[in-house]
Amino acid sequence: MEPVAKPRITAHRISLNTRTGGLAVRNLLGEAMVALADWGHPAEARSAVELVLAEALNNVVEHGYGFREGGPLGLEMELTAETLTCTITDHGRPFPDEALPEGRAASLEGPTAELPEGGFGWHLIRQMTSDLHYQRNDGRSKLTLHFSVV
Amino acid sequence: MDMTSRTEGALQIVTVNAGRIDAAVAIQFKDAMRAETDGPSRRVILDLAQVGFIDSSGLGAIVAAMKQLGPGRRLDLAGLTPAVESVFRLTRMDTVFALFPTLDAALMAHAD
Repeated sequence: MEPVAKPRITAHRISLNTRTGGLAVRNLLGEAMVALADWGHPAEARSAVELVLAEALNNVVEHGYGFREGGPLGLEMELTAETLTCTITDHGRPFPDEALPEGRAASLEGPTAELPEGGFGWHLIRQMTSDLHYQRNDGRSKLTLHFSVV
Repeated sequence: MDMTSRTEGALQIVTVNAGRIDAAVAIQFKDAMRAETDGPSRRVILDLAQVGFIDSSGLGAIVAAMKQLGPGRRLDLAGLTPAVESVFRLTRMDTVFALFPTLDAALMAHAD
């Protein structure tokens, strides 16, 4: 009798939901990282995803919700052989002009006392993703981040 | 923000005992560093060996900690884990701070 071919799992998917406040972002990231580890995503790649998601989620908390607590925050992840796609949804304020920040690298020249302490987030996000999209519909923001699986 | 420090003359070693310096604790880190380094030590080594993750808020807090030292004092960083080091590299903050792979390496280097 011929052995039955094992079904090849071609995609992993997870949907996580929380509300802003306290350690919600940390906890959401933790769950996302556990899922990626379970799916066999390599550790170095997971670090990159964790950083990008932290920046994007912190951005929603700060700019989308103005640090308000209780705002819905969703993270969906889908991993295929080629790509990891992460989609962050929220019900907060849209980006100005509904456009993503450019994320130009900050200048580090000049005296120590004038070094920037912020504004690095979007530069990091853009450097570490292969593609990103932003959509705004019916009071919902949807940010899609793509990571190539090398 | 759990940190411990020891001072040996003009040198101070501050060890961060937390696993993350992120948005959740960036302000606490900055405040704790201000209190911890409120002394005369000319060289402060921040031992980050236990820190597995920083985001841009954490990076900003470390920059703030350096600025808080004021003129004539320096903040060097030791024991950066790969994820943490990559944040410094990607933001080119590795050109601003002296980074040492271990605390021993930092201690052996001359502080110019």
